[in-house]
Amino acid sequence: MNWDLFPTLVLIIATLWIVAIPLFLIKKTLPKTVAAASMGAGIAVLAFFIVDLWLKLDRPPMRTLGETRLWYSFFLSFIGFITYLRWKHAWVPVYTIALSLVFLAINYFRPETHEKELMPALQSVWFVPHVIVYMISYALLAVASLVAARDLLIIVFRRKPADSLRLADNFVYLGFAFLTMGLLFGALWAKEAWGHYWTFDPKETWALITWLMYLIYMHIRYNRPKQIRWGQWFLAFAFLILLICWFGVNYLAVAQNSVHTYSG
Amino acid sequence: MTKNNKPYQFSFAIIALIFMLGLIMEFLFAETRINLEFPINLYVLIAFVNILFFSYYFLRENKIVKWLSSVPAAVAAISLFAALSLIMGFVPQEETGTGFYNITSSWMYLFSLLFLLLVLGMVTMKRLIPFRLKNVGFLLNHVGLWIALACGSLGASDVISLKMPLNEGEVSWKAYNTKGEVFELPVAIKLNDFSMELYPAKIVLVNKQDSKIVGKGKKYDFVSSEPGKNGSLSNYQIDVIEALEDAVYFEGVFREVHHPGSAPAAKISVTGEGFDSSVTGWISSGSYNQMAMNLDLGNGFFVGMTDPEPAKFASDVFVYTKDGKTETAIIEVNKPYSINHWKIYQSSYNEQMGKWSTESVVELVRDRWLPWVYIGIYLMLAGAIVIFWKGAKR
Repeated sequence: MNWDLFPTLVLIIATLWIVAIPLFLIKKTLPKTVAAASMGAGIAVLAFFIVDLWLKLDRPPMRTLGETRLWYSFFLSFIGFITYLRWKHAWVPVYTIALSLVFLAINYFRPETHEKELMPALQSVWFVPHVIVYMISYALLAVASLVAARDLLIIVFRRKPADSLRLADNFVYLGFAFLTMGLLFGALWAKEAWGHYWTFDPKETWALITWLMYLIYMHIRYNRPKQIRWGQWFLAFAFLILLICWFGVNYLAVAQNSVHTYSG
Repeated sequence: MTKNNKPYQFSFAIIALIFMLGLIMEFLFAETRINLEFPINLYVLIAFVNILFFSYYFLRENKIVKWLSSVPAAVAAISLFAALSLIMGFVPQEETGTGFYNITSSWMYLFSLLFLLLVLGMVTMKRLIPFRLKNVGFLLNHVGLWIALACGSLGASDVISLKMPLNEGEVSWKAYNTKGEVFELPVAIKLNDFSMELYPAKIVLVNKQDSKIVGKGKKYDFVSSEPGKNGSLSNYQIDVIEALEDAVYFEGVFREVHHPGSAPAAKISVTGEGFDSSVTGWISSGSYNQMAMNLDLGNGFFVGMTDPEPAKFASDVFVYTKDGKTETAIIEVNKPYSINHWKIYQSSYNEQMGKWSTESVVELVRDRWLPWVYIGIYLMLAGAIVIFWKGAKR
């Protein structure tokens, strides 16, 4: 079946990535390069599984939450990888590997129904761009939250000042650009599928709340660039809102009539 | 106003006041709703833009105007809107409700929206006059949002959305709104054919005691009813020997007959614990005029078939307009048909009859403000690309 390869491949990916973690933390160039190669290989294996699944399912694997978690793990690790190549912050790939593994582990231990069918409302040219830009956005915003959370941990436990918000801002701005695209693609699609571009469906409402959260963050940051602490807390907290929007909303009472519940 | 040393506290005090005012209005006038229809909403829009323009042009040194175009005011305005969205995110919304149960119709929402448009408009004016090329990204985002928000909200009362039931071979020109009121439309529609393609039905193992599908919610809980497919359900191996899409049962077997009421059926063999040899038999999901058939394993379980799910459904129609045009169209989910400012959507069908339904319901939507909302959306998309390009650089 379609997911048969998954347990084996996840173990390979996990091995490659877990090997990479200590190597990233050694303060020498060679081990770091090996780590990056190992991480890259793991990402390639994950990409292979996604492509294979896509071909076997005969539809984009973006419908169930399990499938979106695959993309999320992929983009998250990929962004960590690129960040390392670009800025040489070795701790960013380490955190993204850890978070990425959490999401793969959820799929490993809690496999869901992996149906082949795609209901008519999802058969649209908007489907792939809508989901992909959202997953890229969520991954970028998760990295922003990781950066902020790391600052907070250093401040609280090591009692040292820490300010990586400028780095976090890079991820917030990129993530927000994708978040906006995801939201607007969703609106354009909704018009074609249901006749209206915005109906305050619970998932839409939470997507709007997520968008507004980051909008508030960007405005205050712009206005008060020297004030750091609130921003670190805000980013860490905003990620919770994002998670509610992504899958928490399925468990809320308001979601009973949502047009998005197929993604469960 | 005195000199403002704590702009955030001040701005949040103002939105708290706006929210309280909205609550009081909601408490007193919950039944009174402002519904501006065309062309009044257009006049309001023009007036709003003029107020923004002139107040900024002539009063830009005024303290109120300065505050309205400040970041703290923007943060407060977004926060109020976000707070109302959070209420919507937790309290189930009802179309006929009031207060927190129907936020978008409430006075709080109206005031929040007006304040947001005012602040967003003022801050846009600030960057628009005088125009500078480096502000393009800012303007795309802010002007785009303003247009989408203003036209979408003011235009909401002009959106006409009607359901039209169709029967094969008949011409229809009457449609109904959600309240059940009848409307005669400038277009008439004749349904030539309603058609549906189905996914293969699913073969599942069912516990007779509670009639529940075994293993639902976990991996591999069904075998697709297609020739040659096989798989395991719990401890049983299922082999599909024969699979028919449209089958009718007579004289002990299913035969492929493409006829209303026929249903998918499959001949399967089951092997597993407790059986010396395999058990072979027919199963069918059944339809509105044909019984479902299961294969009893004799140990408290049976193998059955679920109703097949639609892969696509569409209405093949003629559309007649008042000016004498006749057009043929196939209206499908995600593929609405546009004619004379109306968009026609495939909505539903007779679900009991499924693929043999001769009824189809289409939805007709007209939104004269849509092009403006789309302009706003496209501007914002362009703005998102600028954000992507420039990143967090200041």
